Amino acid sequence: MGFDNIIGQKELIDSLKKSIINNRTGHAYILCGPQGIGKRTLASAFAGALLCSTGKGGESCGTCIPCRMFETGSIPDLFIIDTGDSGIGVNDIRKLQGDIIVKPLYSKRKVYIIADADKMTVQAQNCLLKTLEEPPEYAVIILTVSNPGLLLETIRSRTVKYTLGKNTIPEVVHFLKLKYSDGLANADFISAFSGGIIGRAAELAKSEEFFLLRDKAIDIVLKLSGTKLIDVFTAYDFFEKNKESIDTVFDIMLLFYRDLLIASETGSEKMLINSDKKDIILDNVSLFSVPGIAKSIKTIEETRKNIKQNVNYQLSIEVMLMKLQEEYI
Amino acid sequence: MSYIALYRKWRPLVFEDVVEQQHVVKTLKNSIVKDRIAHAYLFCGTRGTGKTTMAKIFARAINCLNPNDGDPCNECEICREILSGSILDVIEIDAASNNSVDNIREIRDEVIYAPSRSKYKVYIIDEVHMLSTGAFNALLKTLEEPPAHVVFILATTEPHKLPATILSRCQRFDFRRITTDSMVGRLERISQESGVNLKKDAARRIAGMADGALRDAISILDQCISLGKKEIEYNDVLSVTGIANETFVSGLVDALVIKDVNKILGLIDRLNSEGKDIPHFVSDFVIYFRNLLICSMTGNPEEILEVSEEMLKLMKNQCSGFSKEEIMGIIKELSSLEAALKWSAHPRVLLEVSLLKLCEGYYVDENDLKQRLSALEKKVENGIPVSKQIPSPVREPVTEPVRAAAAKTSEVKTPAATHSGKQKANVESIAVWDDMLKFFKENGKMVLYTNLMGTRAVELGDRKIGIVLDENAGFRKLIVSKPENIEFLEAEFRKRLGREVKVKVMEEEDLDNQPVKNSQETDEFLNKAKDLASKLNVPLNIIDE
Repeated sequence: MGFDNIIGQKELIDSLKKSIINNRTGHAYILCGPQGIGKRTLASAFAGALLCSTGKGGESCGTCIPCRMFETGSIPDLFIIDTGDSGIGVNDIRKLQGDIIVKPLYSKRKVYIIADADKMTVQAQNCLLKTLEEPPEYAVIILTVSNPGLLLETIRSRTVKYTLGKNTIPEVVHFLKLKYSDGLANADFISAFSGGIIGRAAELAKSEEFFLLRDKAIDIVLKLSGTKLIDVFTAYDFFEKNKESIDTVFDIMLLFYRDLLIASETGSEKMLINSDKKDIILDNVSLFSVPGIAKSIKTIEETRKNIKQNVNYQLSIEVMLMKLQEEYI
Repeated sequence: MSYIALYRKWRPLVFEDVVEQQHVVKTLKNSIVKDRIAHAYLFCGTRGTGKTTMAKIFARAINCLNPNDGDPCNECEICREILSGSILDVIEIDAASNNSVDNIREIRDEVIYAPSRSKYKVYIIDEVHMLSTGAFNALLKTLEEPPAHVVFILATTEPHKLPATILSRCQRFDFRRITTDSMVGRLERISQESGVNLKKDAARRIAGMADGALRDAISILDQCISLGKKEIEYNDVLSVTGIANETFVSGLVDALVIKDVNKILGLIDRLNSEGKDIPHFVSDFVIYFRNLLICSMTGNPEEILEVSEEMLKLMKNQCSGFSKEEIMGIIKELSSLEAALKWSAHPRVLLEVSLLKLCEGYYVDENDLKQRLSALEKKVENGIPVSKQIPSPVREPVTEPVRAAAAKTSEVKTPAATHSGKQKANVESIAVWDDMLKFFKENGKMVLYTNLMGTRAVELGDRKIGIVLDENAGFRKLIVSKPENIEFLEAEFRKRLGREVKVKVMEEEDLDNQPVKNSQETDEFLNKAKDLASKLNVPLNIIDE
């Protein structure tokens, strides 16, 4: 896979290519960006280009031995640490340190990709420090990170950091249209909802469940108006059922409130994210006050945080619903 | 030869090149010249301030065959071997990966052997804070009295994680953060030598982002150079680091001044689609408002702010659009946004909401409201002038502001006297009582405190105070009525109320049987005083205690 398959990120790719052409590649990189933006894809494309023995034009040529081995995934000079869901521990890093002192076999470089490096434990990060500062001259270490705040300052200062920009909405729409050539009904909405993250858009487009979820969540937000306290508890059933995808539910609610806010501030349907629901939104704007919406959004974010911190699920959801209910006019 | 990152290539080789750490350099050099080399040093400071570099220079300097005024020559064979890492006598240990007791035991076993070629055996233990507790303790004895040919240099970013017993055995050097000016100087030199022209404002921006760490700054410079341009300008730095430029920020502030919602949303949309880092943008935004605040509060902001002249002019214009309180409110709102962004998957939405809030002016802080409320309360308490229009049925109207000193104001008493058919109204609880109870608790009068908990003190006329216990509190009454306790209570009341009082301990029902004490006596006295005052034309403050 080369750089060509990556949508957007033009400047970043240019700068990476140039560094290869000018032989100015650093020894350690951080690629950061939200989940699904394509960090891994980019990292492996970059690795391919680095491993290529010709290195013309800053891309993998696809014909030399390292390139062909890279494509079949059998090149021993590429070392990927990907522990999946579990954290990256000291032992994983020690393995890397043991491997890094061995000279490359086929290529002139050795590339190490640490996927989701923010999952490294503090010990592991400290363990990596010295290697990261002065690795052997043939080694390049690439960290992909979605939350750079979790890395030690000392790690960050030893690396060259590239941030992957979000794709523009038209780019995502274009991508979706290419992928689903039979036409996708909600391409505009999906692109906007994904916030310009391709991986997320692709995921959403696949799932019908998501749309059901969205309809229901919006329904609940609207139903909260003018009801009695007891209705909060019936609404809770929905949240109990969707406990697994609660983050998505929060996102849906958040963006719906955001749309309401934008609609009541600007009075127009432009800039709405739930563009296919604009009728519902414009119809219901009068139910909300601007400070009320602002407060509701704060409430949702707080609840999200609380649930992440293992506050009792039912309690925090119910409290959130009651607070939301209070904000109706 | 493959490319080496700038910060490695430009690692200083002599003491003079280490930026901003003159205090360390001077001491170390003197100790080398005077041959007073200690056996253990501890270098600490934030990342990128030169700890490891200094350790490496020092290791060479003490071993160099022909040192030059404390500096290593970097040319003799020892220096060259140390530089290439081929000598056996300078040992650099990564304490983070070798943090167990066994690793330290290895060191302990090795130190007894004399150095193979150089004068000293130098152990540089980097990231020393990661050693395990066992390892630290295993190191203690060696660190205290190593053989004469051994020097330990410990380097760490987190000295507070080291045990005190380690700290006390080392000469400690704290490395300073590097100032913007020195950093700019260094960056300019490096870029010059690399054949790139770095603009002054670009250098300043890089230095500002590096936050006191030179390595960060050089990394950013490296990234900028890899763009392949001959000239690095301000905007190149911004595009490399994904930061919005100041014109954009000030454009947003402009939109905020005129409360143009559509423009604000449009700008955020642009920010988002250009892939700028929103948390970073928010912190820039906060700093911008901080500058505005300084602009609006000081007469000569150019002395404090490091911005261009046009920018300053713009800011001066903008700050007239906000009051100081507004700016402070905005800064508070944005700071809380900054914290919230850490958790959120939708930074854009939160930014939009916050800015719309700012637009609508909903950011008046709750604390601010509280302050205003308490100010109001104070006013109410401390004297609202009693106007002449309200006729007082008992006394002459009091024209002067009536101030209450401690507890009871005459305002309270006046209506009390008029309404009082029953005694209860007359027996106002005394406000200082709660204070006194607290005082007892804090000053070890626990017997009094426990027995008086939940009681109240009432005034039974001018010179008498009753302490009301619940019914059937015979035992407590007994204790409180002890002469020494009564005496103590009376003394305390005297201190607080400023007059002599007698204390009587009573139960709830006794209260009802109290004879009503009329305040006529005082009233007469008051009237006399007032007459006198009006005759003499002297303003009169009535402080009724």
